[in-house]
Amino acid sequence: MENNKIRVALAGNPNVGKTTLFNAITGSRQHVGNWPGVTVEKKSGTKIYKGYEIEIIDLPGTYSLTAYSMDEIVARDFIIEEKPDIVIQIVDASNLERNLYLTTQLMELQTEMIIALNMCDLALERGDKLYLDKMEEILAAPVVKTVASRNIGIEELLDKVIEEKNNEQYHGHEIGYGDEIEGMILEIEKVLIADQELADRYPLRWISIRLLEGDMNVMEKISKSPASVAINDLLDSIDQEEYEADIADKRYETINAIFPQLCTRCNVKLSKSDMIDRVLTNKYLGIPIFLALMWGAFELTFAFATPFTGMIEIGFTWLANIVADSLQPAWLASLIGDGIIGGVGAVLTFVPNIFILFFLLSLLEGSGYLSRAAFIMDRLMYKIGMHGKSFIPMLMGFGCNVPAIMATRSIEDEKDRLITILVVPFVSCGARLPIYILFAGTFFGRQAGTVVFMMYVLGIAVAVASAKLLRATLVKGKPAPFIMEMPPYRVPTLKTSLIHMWDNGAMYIKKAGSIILLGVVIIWLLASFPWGIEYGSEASYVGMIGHIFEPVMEPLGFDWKITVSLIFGFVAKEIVVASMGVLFGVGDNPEALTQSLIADPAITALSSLSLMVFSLLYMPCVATLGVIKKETGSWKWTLFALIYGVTIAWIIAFIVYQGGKLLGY
Amino acid sequence: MSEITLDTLKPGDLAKITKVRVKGHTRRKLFDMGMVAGSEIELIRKAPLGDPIEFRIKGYNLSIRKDEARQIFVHII
Amino acid sequence: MKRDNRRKMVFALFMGFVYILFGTIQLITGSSKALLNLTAPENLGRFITDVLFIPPDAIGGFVLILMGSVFIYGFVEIHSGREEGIAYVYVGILLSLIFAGIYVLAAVGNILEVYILKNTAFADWSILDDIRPEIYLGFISLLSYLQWKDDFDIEND
Ligand SMILES: Nc1nc2c(ncn2[C@@H]2O[C@H](COP(=O)(O)OP(=O)(O)OP(=O)(O)O)[C@@H](O)[C@H]2O)c(=O)[nH]1
Ligand SMILES: [Mg+2]
Repeated sequence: MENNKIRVALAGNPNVGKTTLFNAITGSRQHVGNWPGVTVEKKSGTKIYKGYEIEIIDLPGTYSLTAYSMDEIVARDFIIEEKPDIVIQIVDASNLERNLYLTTQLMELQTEMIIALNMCDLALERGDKLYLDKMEEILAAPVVKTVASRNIGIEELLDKVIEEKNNEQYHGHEIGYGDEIEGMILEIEKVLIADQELADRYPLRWISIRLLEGDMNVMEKISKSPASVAINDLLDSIDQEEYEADIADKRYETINAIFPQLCTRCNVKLSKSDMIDRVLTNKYLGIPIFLALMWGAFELTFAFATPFTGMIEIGFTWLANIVADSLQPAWLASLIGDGIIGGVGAVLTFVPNIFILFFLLSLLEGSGYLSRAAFIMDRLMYKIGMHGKSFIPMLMGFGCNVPAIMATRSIEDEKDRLITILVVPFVSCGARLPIYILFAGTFFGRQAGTVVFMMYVLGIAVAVASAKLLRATLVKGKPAPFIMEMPPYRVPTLKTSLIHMWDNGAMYIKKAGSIILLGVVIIWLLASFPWGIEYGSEASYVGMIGHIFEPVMEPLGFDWKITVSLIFGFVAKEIVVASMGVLFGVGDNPEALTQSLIADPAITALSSLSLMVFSLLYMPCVATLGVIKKETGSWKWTLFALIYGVTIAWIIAFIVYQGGKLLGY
Repeated sequence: MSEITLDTLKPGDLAKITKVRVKGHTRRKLFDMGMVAGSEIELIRKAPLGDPIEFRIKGYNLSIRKDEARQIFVHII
Repeated sequence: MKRDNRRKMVFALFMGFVYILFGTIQLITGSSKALLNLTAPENLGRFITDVLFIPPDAIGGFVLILMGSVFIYGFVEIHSGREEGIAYVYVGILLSLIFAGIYVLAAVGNILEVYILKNTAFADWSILDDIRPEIYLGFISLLSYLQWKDDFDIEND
């Protein structure tokens, strides 16, 4: 091992600022939010500091070394199995007691530990007093005060890392569990010592305690050990539940005993956060306020974006005119004008909406309201067979379904998680927004806003109904218990929100410049050939493809052009809009797309409504299917998501279109 | 001092946990979150639809459902 | 009761009343227009839109009524001696600031349409069209927020 390399893990309870600290040290831009369970994977970064190469690993949060959900398993396995040189435990200074519980477990694991006392600003503001010297003495570990969100204490922390690295000896300190348990620990240790391999890997005392607590993970570790029979005999002789409770009691007792020496807490009877919550979770006002806030966010996404959308349109018109005037030969002008500018341009027009959408979502995440939404909605969610925590990924799904499905990792129960993964794709993501804006804007005039809002509501309704259906049929059982920390409200930092907005907005733009561009070129080619036909006519390849599927789609009110758009939209839903731009050949004037749509007799207000419904529901895009496969680990469920989506979409669009026709629209 | 279950507290009531009768996985999870015998716990509020319930314990806010609260015994202090 | 709480109580009553009144008008004019295609009689209608600047907007009306209810809730709580009632005044103010912000931004968007884009659809638009209760009532909230912003903690005595 080279001596100037240090591997440092950032561990700690959820939502204590691990990722904020990680970003502050390494300069990365990992996702930060004010709710427990933001980070679900380990992420690593490096920092060169005073000649050392420090590798920092940001872990998901965990309340203890017992893991319940996938993200916690990642954290636990890293700390226990990969043995980083140093573990920095980030401790929320405003919430010491519960945070120290993990500390007691890390101490038993005999990891080289540094404590970063984060959120010191909050503790100070409240009037708490923290006694660092005492803390270092009692916990036998260096303690550094930090305010990760303002880059305070970073250098001191890194200095300590280097100091600790060069200071080889481990200075341990452990909790005593009282005569009875200690006696048992000793007995188990005696048996375990026979297994040399195990003894080399883990501290025996730690294993013994975990066994007494009934830790499944450790049980598994020793199941292959020669000592396992003797251990099981020993464990059978005790009342395991009692031990489990006693051990936890003892840990908290120890914390209670030392706590007054570490900190004097100043109590505010009703903090701002409590005051806000009193209203936002009020019996009568809570749910209406939630709906009102959603409506407000929605209004803003549209109202404020329109002029910027207009500016982009003007830019593209200008570009298209230049292309049309000066490019030769004609096919090249058509490729660039009709294909690229018409297609990609149609998608890029909606960048302002996407930016605002992600900005608002980030405010929502940063404020701490997401946990309240889960709290308010748990009862309803429970009734439909989902878990309150599922509500958080569903709200995130408004931005993009892919990270939303990743976020389900913090849901503990496998079935709860599976259902959430399967219904998130019905939540209308940012990529579907352009479709609604284009068609609702074109055909519904002043009612456009309401129509678009109804699409969002429909998405949620289908998600909810599907969850209920799944619970009744394929994924039977009851949702698991709801145990969730409610973090205090915070004022979201502008920087975090801007970064979130920018990174996600940039992703949308990149997508437009890569996969959508590719799709557009392919559609253009298919629309231009075979040689000699009229561009985009029924005789082209596109026309042929469209005609093959047209019979299935006709009852929904779709002609071959829409059908083709939808087929390609499977890759990314923005392509539905892009291919409209290509097929209607309006590259030289984006605004004309609206006029061409109105002029086309095959597209009416009713069929455009049916089209919006169909695009909302019909299938998860390729990226979403990929992440469904990854997260469920099953082709069966992935295929199910695809087929189920198309079926539901077809049925509902059919009802909308045929029903509308019956009503005389 | 009579033992009652956690779900029967009213907002603002302060109590001390005496026994956690929850079983399985959830039991340990609750321990990890600080719901051990001897902890002081205050009922802060119930969700708009009556469930889950938010408590203050160990200096932070934790919410759990009635089903679990029913199996946690406390006495009011 | 602290003197300041009495003031907050009166403020809450006033704001609650106005928000609910305006919200109701907005809701009624909005939904009758959307559903029945009805508009208010000429004079009354002019008074509502040109003097009070209340646009017909059903959902917006619902939001106004909601904010009014939050204030009224606060009034009732403080009135019956529960100091925690100021929480409702605080959140009521925050909510009205949020919605004022939203409609100010929407107005800024329209201004851009007119002066930067010179959009013809906005030919007979005037800034007055974008003034609505959320904005001018939000302004009152802003003043009271500045006045009281350090005043919303309830300390243990
Ligand atoms: N006031 C204050 N807020 C902080 C500080 N550090 C982080 N935060 C905020 O705390 C919240 C949680 O931060 P994260 O970095 O996402 O926390 P995490 O520990 O990575 O959370 P998980 O990934 O969910 O486990 C965010 O809203 C941060 O802005 C700090 O030192 N002071
Ligand atoms: Mg994190």
